Amino acid sequence: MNSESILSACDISFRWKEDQPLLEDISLDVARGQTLAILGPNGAGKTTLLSILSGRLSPRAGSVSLNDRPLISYSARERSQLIAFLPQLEKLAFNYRVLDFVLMGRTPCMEVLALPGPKDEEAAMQALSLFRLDSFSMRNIGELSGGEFQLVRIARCLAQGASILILDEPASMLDPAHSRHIADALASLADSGKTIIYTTHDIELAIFLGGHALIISEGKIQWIGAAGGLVDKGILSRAYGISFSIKQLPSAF
Amino acid sequence: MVDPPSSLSSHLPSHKTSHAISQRSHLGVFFAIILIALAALSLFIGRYPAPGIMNPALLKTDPIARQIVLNSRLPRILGAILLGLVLGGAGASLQSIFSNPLIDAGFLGVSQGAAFGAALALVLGLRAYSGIAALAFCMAVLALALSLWLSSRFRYGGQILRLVLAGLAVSAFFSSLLSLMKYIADPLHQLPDIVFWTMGSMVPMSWKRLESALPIAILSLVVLYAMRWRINLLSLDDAVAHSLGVRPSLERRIVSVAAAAGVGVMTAVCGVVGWVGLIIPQIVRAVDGPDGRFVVPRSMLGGAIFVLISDTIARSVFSGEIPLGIITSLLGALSFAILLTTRKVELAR
Repeated sequence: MNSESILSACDISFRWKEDQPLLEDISLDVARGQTLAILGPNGAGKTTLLSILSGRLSPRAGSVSLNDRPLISYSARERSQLIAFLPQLEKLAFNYRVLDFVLMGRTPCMEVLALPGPKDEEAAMQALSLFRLDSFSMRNIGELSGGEFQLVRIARCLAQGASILILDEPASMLDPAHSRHIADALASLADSGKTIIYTTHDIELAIFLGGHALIISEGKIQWIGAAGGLVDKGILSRAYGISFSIKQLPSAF
Repeated sequence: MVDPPSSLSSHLPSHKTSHAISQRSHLGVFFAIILIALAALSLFIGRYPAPGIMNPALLKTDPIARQIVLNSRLPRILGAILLGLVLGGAGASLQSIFSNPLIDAGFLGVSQGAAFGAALALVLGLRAYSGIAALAFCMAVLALALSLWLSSRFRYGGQILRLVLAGLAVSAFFSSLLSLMKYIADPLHQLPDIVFWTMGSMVPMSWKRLESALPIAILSLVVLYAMRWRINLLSLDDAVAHSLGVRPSLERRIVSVAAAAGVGVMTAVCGVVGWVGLIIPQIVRAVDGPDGRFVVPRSMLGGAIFVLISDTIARSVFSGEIPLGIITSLLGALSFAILLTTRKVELAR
């Protein structure tokens, strides 16, 4: 095990059905402050891997360690103080005010039945201001565009105060401007020392954010290395089963 | 506190993260004042000594007036307030944790279970009110337990969908048993009692019955009030709630059991009173937004006002008592229609 690793997975396997293995013998170490992009075809198990790394799912075999301690031994509250997870999609039944929505991220910092206080409101406003969304605080979520909502969701993760952010496709389904805005925000968070693990289908985003990248396919890690290595067409072709070419086209990154 | 990433913060305007203290309406204070004023006024509204408002001075001179106000109207008013607090709080909490603003406080089969229990007691010839209430409460608890057990046996959908489906099935089951009780009941003596009970009424309320319902009802209210922030988290996707340190399955059950126990015990005493738990949280959310910190206590107070007004109408407008459930359903349905046609009830995303 890497001595600097903050989060590590050792030989983890997972399957929803007995005869359909989804992940097999996955091992990885994520160092403190590292950025790790997880790529791979649809259905490769990227989201399942994130769910296991965030403690929401338990692997069928193998183990996950957080700060050299089994993740399973952490209480829900302890874990939430260290890891913030952002699912790809999020449906809201109620039209919360933006500030209240971000305030929910402060829950791990509060006593179990306590209400958020002025310090929590200040932290939530600060998280919003990092994305220049502080002027949105009194708006309702339903008034936001898709890109703004995504930024507010990331602000909620930030307000949580966790050192590890696990984000499932944080920049998907957004226009180039919002994708770039989120990429800039993630780059700044990485610069500030956050450990960021995220999935993406956007190879340009992974290269832009740098750090490390891995490709999952058919339940196994097919490749792992510096994110800049994704320019290798052969690596991508083997993982996705199609041929890639490199062209000069307009890019937001 | 969040550490600002350096390169991002350098882009920021000279923004000072001052307190964005919640700007809320004073609906809670307004509701509390209205409730106290209505309760005081309602004490003197009735048909003694003549239809209308009694002169408070009669309390000193007329022992019958004193008897009516202190031993009939006062426990009844307090019972109506307690019923409204429970129905409003339970409705708001259940709607939030099941992410469905159209769920009623009798969700999970509790109301229908209690109604069947009372009907069964009447068919079995139990005349003592305590026996009827006890069997009603037992069946409400059984309905809740059945819903939770059934949802755990389903192999379809997520936890919320399973609970909704289980609640539907258990409600339908007890509803059919209630129909069976009506069918086999003595049409001259038992059937009118069953029908009257299923329409809800505060007539049976007395100091003794209020005391019997009070411990469970208060416990239910305390749990729902204490959970009002966690209720927000339970309205989010389970993956998000889990990331925030919540155990969605466990905490949803705590809130469900607290809500169902409160509704069950009050239904056992007062019969089935509908629409309160559905409409009041809708109105509060339309004014104040969906934050559980405010919706839960204000729905409790709003529910109490709604039931108190309905019960005062039920006992004073006509010479004969109108079942409370008829008034709440009528007012509730009208309010719901007005709310939907005049205000855009929107889901966020």
